[in-house]
Amino acid sequence: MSDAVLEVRDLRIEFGARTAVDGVDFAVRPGEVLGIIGESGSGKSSVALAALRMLPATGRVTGGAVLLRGTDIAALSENELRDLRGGEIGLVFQDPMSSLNPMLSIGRHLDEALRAHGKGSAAERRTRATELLELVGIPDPERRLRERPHRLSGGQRQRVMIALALAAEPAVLFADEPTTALDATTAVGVLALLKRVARELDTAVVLITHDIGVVAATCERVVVMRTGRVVEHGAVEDVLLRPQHPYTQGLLAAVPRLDTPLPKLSGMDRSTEPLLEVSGLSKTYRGRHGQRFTVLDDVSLSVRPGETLGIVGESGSGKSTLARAVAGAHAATAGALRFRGEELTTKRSAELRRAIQLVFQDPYASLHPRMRIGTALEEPLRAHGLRDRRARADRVVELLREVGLDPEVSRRRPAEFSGGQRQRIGIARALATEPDLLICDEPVSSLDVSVQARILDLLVELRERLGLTMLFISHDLAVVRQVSHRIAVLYSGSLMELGPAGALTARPLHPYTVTLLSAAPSPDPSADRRPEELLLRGEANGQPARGTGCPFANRCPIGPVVRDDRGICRDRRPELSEHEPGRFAACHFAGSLTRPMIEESA
Amino acid sequence: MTVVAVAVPAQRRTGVLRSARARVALGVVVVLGLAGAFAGLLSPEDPRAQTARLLTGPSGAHWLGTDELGRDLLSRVLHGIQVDLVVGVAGVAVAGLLGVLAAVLSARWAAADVVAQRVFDVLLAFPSLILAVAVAAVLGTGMVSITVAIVLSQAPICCRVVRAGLLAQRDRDYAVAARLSGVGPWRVLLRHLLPTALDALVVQLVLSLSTAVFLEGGMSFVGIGVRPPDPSLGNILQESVQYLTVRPSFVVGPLVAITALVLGFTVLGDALNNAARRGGSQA
Amino acid sequence: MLRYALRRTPSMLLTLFLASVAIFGLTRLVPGSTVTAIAGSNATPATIQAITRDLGLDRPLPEQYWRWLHGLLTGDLQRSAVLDQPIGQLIARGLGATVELTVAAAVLAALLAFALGVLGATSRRAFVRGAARSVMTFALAVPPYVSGTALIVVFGVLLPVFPVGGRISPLQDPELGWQYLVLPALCLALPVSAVLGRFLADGLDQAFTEDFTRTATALGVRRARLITVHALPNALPPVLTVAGIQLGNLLAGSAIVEALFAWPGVGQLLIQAITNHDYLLVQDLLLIAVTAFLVLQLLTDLGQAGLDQRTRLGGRS
Repeated sequence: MSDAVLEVRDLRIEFGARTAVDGVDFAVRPGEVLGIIGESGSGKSSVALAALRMLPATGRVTGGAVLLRGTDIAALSENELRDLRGGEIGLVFQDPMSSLNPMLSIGRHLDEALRAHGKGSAAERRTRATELLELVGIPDPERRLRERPHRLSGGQRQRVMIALALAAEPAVLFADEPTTALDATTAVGVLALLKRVARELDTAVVLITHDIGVVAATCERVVVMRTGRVVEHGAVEDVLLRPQHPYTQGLLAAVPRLDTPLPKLSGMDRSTEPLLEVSGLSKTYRGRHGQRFTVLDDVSLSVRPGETLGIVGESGSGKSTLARAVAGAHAATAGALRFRGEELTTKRSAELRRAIQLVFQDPYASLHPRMRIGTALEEPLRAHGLRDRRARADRVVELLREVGLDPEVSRRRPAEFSGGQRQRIGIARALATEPDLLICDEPVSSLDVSVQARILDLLVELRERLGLTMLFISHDLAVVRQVSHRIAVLYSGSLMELGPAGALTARPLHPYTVTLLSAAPSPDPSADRRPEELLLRGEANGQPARGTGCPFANRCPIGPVVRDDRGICRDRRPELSEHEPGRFAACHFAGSLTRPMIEESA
Repeated sequence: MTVVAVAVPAQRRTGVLRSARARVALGVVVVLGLAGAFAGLLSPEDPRAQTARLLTGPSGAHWLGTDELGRDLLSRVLHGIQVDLVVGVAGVAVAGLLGVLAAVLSARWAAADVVAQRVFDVLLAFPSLILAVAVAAVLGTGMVSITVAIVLSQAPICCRVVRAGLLAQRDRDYAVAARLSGVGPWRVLLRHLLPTALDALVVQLVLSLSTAVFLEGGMSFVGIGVRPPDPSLGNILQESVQYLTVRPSFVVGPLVAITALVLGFTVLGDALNNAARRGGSQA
Repeated sequence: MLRYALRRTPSMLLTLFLASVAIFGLTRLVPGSTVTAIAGSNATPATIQAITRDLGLDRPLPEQYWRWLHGLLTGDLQRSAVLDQPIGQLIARGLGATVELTVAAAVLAALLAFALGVLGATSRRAFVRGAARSVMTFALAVPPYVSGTALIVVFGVLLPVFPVGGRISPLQDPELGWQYLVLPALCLALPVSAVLGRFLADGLDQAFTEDFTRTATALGVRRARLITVHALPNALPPVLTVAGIQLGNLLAGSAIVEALFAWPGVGQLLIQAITNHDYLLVQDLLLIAVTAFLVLQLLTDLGQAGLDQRTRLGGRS
């Protein structure tokens, strides 16, 4: 490919004795967005670091080359290398929080990037910094230049990162998982920005991600990597719609989608009393200076025996707070929880503790690093009165089998397991007490897609077999839709919409649900590209306008920001009310925004 | 459906003794520890026995020479090491126990925490040497007051280290998980939280030993610690300084012994600390 | 900033109050009391009673405590019965010498710490980094009475370039004054410079492993700027925190260094007072040491808060 600005030829990278990247080839043209997709351990990030000769000390390029306009970057001198870094190739990292220096202002960051490449006098650099912030869509750039990174929201920080990478007008921009740390509605804007950068600045953009939806929405071509090798390479439409390699096929099949038919879930018991009732639950924290943060605001819902209720929300929506309050990890500030009609507090009887169990999000953090798996699983058994050693050991074997692990592993410690295996152990521990209600707090969000699918299958299977009632919490509407009977949508601590999974995702009533659905990445590149930036203003910051109005008013695509006649959204808080049988929404204009309508407004 | 666990290759244990410095430090500490423990057997003479050969240099009979009262310096230094180690180990052990106890009670009951923190704030308001001086002012000179000074200055530090370790873990998912599965508060504290918190304490105890030797030396040096004729590294050093111009070799024995002890404990503590940090970052 | 200071002050005052009670209580528990120290061991009961009354030691303890505190606050210190001089004068004279020594040591420590810390973390040569770190470990571990003795042996006995004992005020004779100051100040500064230097080196090392340093490298920022502009601002705050405590240790360590170098400061005065059982003097000196230590800690916290505005805003994410 002669017009390629950057070409990677048969690249091979080793870390010690381990080959991380093995024979990777690709090229990228100006103005193009190329996706590199792979799960953890696929070596996709090493490629980006190798392109800047920034591999960690243990890593070495042992074969092939990275060519920038035909020049091998391995041949560059120290000085030329500095010109390459930032000057020719820009790099955007995953976590915009840790990637910006907390002690330096945004202006200083940009100034350093410009100065490193000799871009003009101090005054000129300042003007350029302002332009850069405008370019990446940060409002009020003059003020932002003076602020330090912690004042910015996650999406804004990532935009600053992009501005930094673009400061010296590089020909190539690598973005390594640029949206992984962001909420879906925020990510949409950042991806749109990357596309705009490619289009308007004629930059070659290489987008590295684990998320097929991100690739589908943004890239023209895609490279699929697995354990250091390229398994498939081609135009996005070809690879995602007609995958040739079994790995790509498997990956695509594992991605939860919103447009597939709903899975058949065994029926719940409609006749009896609800198993869990949440009424008017609120939780506020007091900040260091006495200011109050409301993380959960008057949430009411109920779960019937045998039912799975999905709870969806972005960061700061209060979904984990709700989960942990039900689990008894912390007390709510107001409101009540009832389990089989019995009041639930943090001080609960052994029987209630037994009956309600929690599966944690992070399988690395939720297991004691020192404790053998067997011991960890015995703990709840011992606590619930199983005194006999032998009986406990038998039960541990049974539990491990139940979650699909070899009972032999009970002597091992958590470090010896992969993430998926640890999550299985976490599930086994929750099941140890034979609970009636299993709360899953983002049980799959830290796992690779293929592992994610297997854990979801396991949870569904266990529920059917053991007759569990579940509270399933996730930020991912597509995941929740797969496993839930009903779905509750939380925004900034408030319940926005509640209804049957199928109806809610097919015909959402609340504009926020519509927004979430539109922002959800779809692996289908033929789906109409969404009207990204028109959709949402700002970001959920956990502290929206409180008091009288609707918490979503300031970001709502059909709210007062767009339509002057809708002052009511700011003045009066909409009640959660039943709009159709079994379908509730808290919106004055529920049902008036549907998906096709947004697309028109684009 | 059975998925057989495939072991992720176990990370190589990041040993404390990976660096040569740490190995040397451990060697020094062990040798001096043995020397102190068997000071009675190893000493050629009674450390208090005076002879007529005053302030002699090193010789076959007196490897380190004699002091101003004709006492054998090697014997005095060996016994001095013993005194330092006895005082140090006793003081640090008690400080560690008190620290753990206070930290566990603090982590269990908020009221205990308030009281313990206030008491320790007051103790920490005294720089360690000033605290030692204050103790000597009250208890008089001698090994007991040195030990008490070590306990009082190190117990708050030990408590803080353990308490910080306990608190840092209290809201970790694995601790919450243990509580939610019905494990009692004491068991969570002692079985789930304390073992990890004790890692940091081990490092602190070794560093406290070096502070202990430092304190003994300091107190005895200014005459408020172990008083002659009983030997301690501090008072031997102090005596030797008086005769620095007459017999410079006098200073070598105590100087080297104190330096080796303090340095040995410090380097060992650093190595433990680094090992713990490496282990921590991998976990 | 002011609000932060005001918020921290009550806690410090409480600690100070409790410490003063502790000091007062302890000095009254002492067996060989001031009275025997003045009267001698074979004094008559009548003499002892007279001295006790004279010193006010026959009053109830709360009253004695109150008089002590009142005296301190109004600057009305008693007379040292043992040395037969006004305590105020004794302390004032000693304090001048000690402050001079401490300030010199602090400046020296800061310079040494900066040089060693930056070298130990950022030198391109592993040998230089290792050497700087070894020097710091050594300087940290070796107690001042040992390093002081070594300094005396080297610069006083083997190559006599500096005087090894006594003090001449630099105000009287600047040229001679600093010569007397060099060895004790260096001796006092060594361990402190080592602690600070190590924190600085560790902080720089830490900063170099952070993602934001990777960002700066990826932007093509030069290594020198990487150190000065990007890493140092992050490495300094923890150094500052320790610096406050270390200054307190400097003050405390001066007791030994003063004894070694015959430096007539408050440290010597304190040791002397203890050996003389002069408890009225001891309690004043202890309280001064504690106050200085606490004030330094408060100042450090304030400096820290100023440097890191996030503390003021509440969150320290």
